[in-house]
Amino acid sequence: MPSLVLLKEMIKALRRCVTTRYPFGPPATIIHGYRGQPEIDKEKCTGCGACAQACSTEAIRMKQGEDARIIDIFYGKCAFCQRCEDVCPEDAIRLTERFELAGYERESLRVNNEVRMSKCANCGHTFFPDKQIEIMKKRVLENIKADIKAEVQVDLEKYSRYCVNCRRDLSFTMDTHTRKWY
Amino acid sequence: MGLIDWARKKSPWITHAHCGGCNGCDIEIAAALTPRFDIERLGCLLKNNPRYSDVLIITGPVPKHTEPMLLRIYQQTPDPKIVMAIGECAIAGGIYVEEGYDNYSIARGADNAGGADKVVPVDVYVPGCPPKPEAIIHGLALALKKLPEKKLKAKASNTR
Repeated sequence: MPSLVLLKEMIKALRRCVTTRYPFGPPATIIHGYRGQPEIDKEKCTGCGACAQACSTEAIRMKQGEDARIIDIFYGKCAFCQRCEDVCPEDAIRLTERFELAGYERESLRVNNEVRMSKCANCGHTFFPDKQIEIMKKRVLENIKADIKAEVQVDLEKYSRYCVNCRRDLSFTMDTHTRKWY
Repeated sequence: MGLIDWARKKSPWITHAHCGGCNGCDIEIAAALTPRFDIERLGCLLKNNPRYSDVLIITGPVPKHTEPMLLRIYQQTPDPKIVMAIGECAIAGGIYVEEGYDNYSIARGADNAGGADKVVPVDVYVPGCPPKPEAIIHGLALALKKLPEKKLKAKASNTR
């Protein structure tokens, strides 16, 4: 009830000084639900790039490193809209209640998260982050029918080692599934 | 620390330069001056003349038609001066600068990012869209820490 809160504040203001003692006294009071600095949990992040796509101001960018994918957050552009938190499938990115982000350098507002990429067993190029492939396997096996689980698991292990192009090239030579559930 | 340095640190007068932008940050600066967050207890006084002030506060993405005015305000501020870029737009152009969208009206540097530091040197960056009044006070506290260093620089540039 915002009106009750307002009334309470008004009564308080009659009794004492309302000025906050912020830089010297206790830490600033933050209202529940305040959208502050977004932070990536490096353990949980799979590097899928959903946050980079949803970002409204291009504060989160997805860059391709040598053998890693870099999720790059620049707080100097972030509008604290919480869309990254909404779309993250792993709940890895969260908006904390921190607001003291000021710095002397522009680049001090940048935070990188590197996610290791897996390499194709055939051509040696990087194609997907390791963690994303693991999560994909887990999700597929969780949601599939029990009677075809074992066969699909074999296939997944086989196919997830190759990149998209190599998979297409090798699909004839590889021992493919029997297609009996189609 | 001499008497003048002490006085300067205890009463940093500020000038607010609004360069484009949506007025969100300006309202937060106004909120920081109200009794609730009262930055006047730190000695800050909002001045409408840059010649009296020590701290120059910039908000907005600095469009090209505001660029000469901002440069002039910066040159009018006496040394040692501190420049604060408040809000996303003043730091890197914010929503006004996007990849693949060539915005003709915003001052931009070589890296295609906008911001006040493409026009004048900025000392303290305060992110937030808009920043909380507390965040502005925190930025001001950081700025005041930089004051002795700025003074030395100003001295060096004067003797040259």
